[in-house]
Amino acid sequence: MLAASSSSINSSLPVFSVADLNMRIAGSPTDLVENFSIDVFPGHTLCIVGESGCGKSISALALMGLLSPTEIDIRSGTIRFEGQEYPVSEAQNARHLRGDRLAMIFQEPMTSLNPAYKVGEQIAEAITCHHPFSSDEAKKRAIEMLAKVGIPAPAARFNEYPHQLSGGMRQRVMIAMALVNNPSLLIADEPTTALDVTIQAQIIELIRNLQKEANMGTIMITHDLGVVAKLATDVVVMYAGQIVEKGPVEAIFNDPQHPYTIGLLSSMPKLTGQRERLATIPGTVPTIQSMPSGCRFSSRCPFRAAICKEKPVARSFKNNHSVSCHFAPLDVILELSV
Amino acid sequence: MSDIILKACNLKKYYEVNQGLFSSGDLVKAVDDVSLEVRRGETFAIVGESGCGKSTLGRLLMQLLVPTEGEVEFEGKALSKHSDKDLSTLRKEVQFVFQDPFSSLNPRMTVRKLISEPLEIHRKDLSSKQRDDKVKQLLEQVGLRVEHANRYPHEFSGGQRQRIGIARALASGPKLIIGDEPVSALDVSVQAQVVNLLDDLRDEFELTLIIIAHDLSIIRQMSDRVAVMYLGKIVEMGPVDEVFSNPRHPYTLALLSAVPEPVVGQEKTLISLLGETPSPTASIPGCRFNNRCQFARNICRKTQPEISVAEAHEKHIVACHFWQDVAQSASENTMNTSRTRNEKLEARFKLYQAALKGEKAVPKLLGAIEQEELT
Ligand SMILES: Nc1ncnc2c1ncn2[C@@H]1O[C@H](COP(=O)(O)OP(=O)(O)O)[C@@H](O)[C@H]1O
Ligand SMILES: Nc1ncnc2c1ncn2[C@@H]1O[C@H](COP(=O)(O)OP(=O)(O)O)[C@@H](O)[C@H]1O
Ligand SMILES: [Mg+2]
Ligand SMILES: [Mg+2]
Repeated sequence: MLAASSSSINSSLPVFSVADLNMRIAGSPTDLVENFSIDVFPGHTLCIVGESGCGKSISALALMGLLSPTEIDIRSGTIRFEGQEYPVSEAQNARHLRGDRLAMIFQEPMTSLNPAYKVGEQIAEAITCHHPFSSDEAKKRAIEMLAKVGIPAPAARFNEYPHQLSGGMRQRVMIAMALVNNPSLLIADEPTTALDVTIQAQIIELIRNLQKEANMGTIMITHDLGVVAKLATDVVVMYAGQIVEKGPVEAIFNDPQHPYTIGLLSSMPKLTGQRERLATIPGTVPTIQSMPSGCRFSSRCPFRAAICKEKPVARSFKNNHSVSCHFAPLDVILELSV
Repeated sequence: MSDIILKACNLKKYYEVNQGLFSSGDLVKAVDDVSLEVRRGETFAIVGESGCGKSTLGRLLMQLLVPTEGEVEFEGKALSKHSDKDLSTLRKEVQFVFQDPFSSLNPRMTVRKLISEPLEIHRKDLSSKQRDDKVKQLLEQVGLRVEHANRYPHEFSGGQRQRIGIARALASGPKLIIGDEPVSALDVSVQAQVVNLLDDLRDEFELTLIIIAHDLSIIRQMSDRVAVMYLGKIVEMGPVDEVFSNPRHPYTLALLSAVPEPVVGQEKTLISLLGETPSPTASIPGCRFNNRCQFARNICRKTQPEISVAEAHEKHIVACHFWQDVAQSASENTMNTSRTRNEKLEARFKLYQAALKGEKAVPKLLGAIEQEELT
C-alpha cells in the first residue's frame, strides 16, 4: 500500500505552504502564474503536473528564491515553512538562512554539479557548508550517502568527476547532495525526465524509499502522469499558470473533475487494455499575450460556454479535492446524460 | 507488387572511435547483424533505450548511411544495384520525419518554401500554380491553415512544427515514411493529436510507416509489429500485442515492467536490470545482455543466442537461450492483468469525448449556454 490513502486525514500540519502566489514578467500586464496555493505535508509527495510552459518550474524557482526580481515581478504570495512565515519575494534570504532545510534537484544534474570538482567533494562541501564537521567526518558522511543512494563502490566513486558518471548515477549523486543534510522539504523538478525508462524506474523507487524513511515533504514536478501515479500522495494540475484541479492522488486519477485533467488522462496511450483512437485536447496552449480572460482553458475546452469568460472560483469537495471549473461537480451532468 | 516493401539483410554499422595516430580505436557496433522485413501498409516500430542503435538503423534503412556490411532492399532492389535514377526515385519514395522538426527546418524559409522545396525536386511536372495549390492542400491535410504558409518555423509551437515536418515529408508522394522519435518531444495532448494525424495519413496516402521510439505506450498505440533493440541487436520481434502481452526476452520484460502507467495503486513488480548499460565499446562474450540479466546461466556468457521463432503459431522471434523461463516469469507477473475498469472514470471520458464531438446533448445538459465553435 502507498502512503497515499492517509492523505484524506491530515493529522499533521503542513511542513510547507504557499498562499496566493501571483507573478508576471516585469512590465507585462498578465500573470504568468496566478493564485498558486499549495500545502505539503511531512512524508507526503505533492506532484505538480501539467504540460510544458504551464509554470511548474518557474513556480518552484520562485519558492526557492532563484528568480531575478528584475525579470520576474512577484506580486504576492506567502510561504509558511516549518512554522515561519515570509513573503515569496524574500525566499532568497530564507534559503540563505536555512538552505539545509530546503533542497532542490533539477532535471539535468550537470546544471548543479560542478564539472571541475570530484562528486564526493561536492557532497562533503554541502555538509561542511551547514555543519561544523571536520573534513574527514564530512567525507565519511558523503561516502555513506553515496552508498545510500545506491552507488556501487562509493569510496571509489567519491573521487570521480561528474562526466565520468552515467546520467542515472549523476542523478543519484544529486539526490545524495540534496538529502545529505536531512532537509524537511525537497523540491524535485523533472528528476527522471532525461533518463531511460529502466533507470527512471530505479530512481523513482529510490526517491520513494528515501522520502518515506526521512518523513520529508516533497514537491515533485513532472509532466508524466505515469510518474505521478507512482509517486504522488497529492496532486496539483496546472494549466497556463493556473491550478485547475488539486486533491489526493486517488481523486485526481479516479474522479477527475476538470475538463483539462480528463482530457490529459484520456489522451495518454495505454500499455494494457483495449487500443482505441486517442482522445485529444484540441488546439494549442495560448501564449501569455493571447491568454483568454476568465478560465484560461476555455479556448480549448469542449465544454466551453459563455460563463467561462468569468474566472471560475476553486470549489472544494470532500477530501480536499478542489476544482476551478464552472461545471464542477460533473456528476450532475453525468447523471442527466445517461 | 510484393508484400514486402523494405528488407534488411544482416545489416551492420560499426564505428571506430578514440583512435590515435598510431593505434586503432575501439569499435562501436551501433547496428550489429540486423535483419528485418517491413510489410506494405503496416506500421513497424523500433524500440529500445538511448544508444541502442535505433537512429543508426533508421538511417541505414533510409539508405542515408552506408552499412559496414549487409544490404537494404527497397521494393526488391538493393542500393548497390541502384542507378542514379533509382536513387532519386528512392529519395522521393522514402521520407524521414525527425524528432525535433525545429533543427531540421531551415529557419529562414517560409512554410510555403519549406513544403514546396521537395515538390520542386521531385515533382518537376507541376507548374508553379499547381505547386502552390499542392502546398495549400498539404497544409490542410496535416491540420494547418493556408495562411500559415507565409510564416516562419519559429512562429509555431512544437506540435505545429511537427505538422510542417510531416507535410514536407508527404510532399514528394512517398510510399514509406521513417519517423525517428516523431512525437517524443511533444506534450501529451499534442502528442495524441500527432499520433492520430499519422494514423489518418497512413490510411489516406496508403503509407507504410517505420516508427522509432523509446516510449512503449506510444509504440503500442501506433504500430502493428515491433522490434526491440539492445546494444545494436534486435532481441525480440513480433506483433505488438503478442510481444507486449507475452514478452519472451528478459530485456523486453524489464522494459515493460518499468513503464509507469497512469493508474493509481497499480503495483507492478519491477524487473530491475542488474547494473547499467555497458559502454558501447565493451566487448561482451556470449549474449550481450547476460551481465544485466537475472535469467543468465553459463551458456549465456559463452554463446550468443540466435534469433529464432519462439512461438510456432506466431511470427514472434526472440534471441534468448532461456525464453521459456522468461515467458513463465512474464505470465506470473502483472503483464496480463488488464486494468480493472472504473465505471465512473469511463463515464467521464465518454462525456468528454461526446462534448469533443460537439454532441448536442452535452451543451444542452450543461444549461442555457452558447457553445461556440472550437478552434
Ligand atoms: N525567467 C523568465 N523570464 C520570462 N519568462 C519566463 C522565465 N522563466 C519562464 N518563463 C515563462 O514562464 C512560463 C512557464 O515556464 P516554466 O515554469 O518553465 O514551465 P514548465 O516548467 O511548466 O514547463 C513559460 O511561458 C516561460 O516562457
Ligand atoms: N557517427 C558516429 N560515430 C561514432 N559512434 C556513433 C556514431 N553514430 C552513433 N554512434 C554510436 O552508436 C550507438 C548507437 O547510436 P544511435 O543509433 O544514435 O542510438 P539511439 O538512436 O538508439 O539512441 C551509440 O553508442 C552511439 O554513440
Ligand atoms: Mg519545467
Ligand atoms: Mg536516436
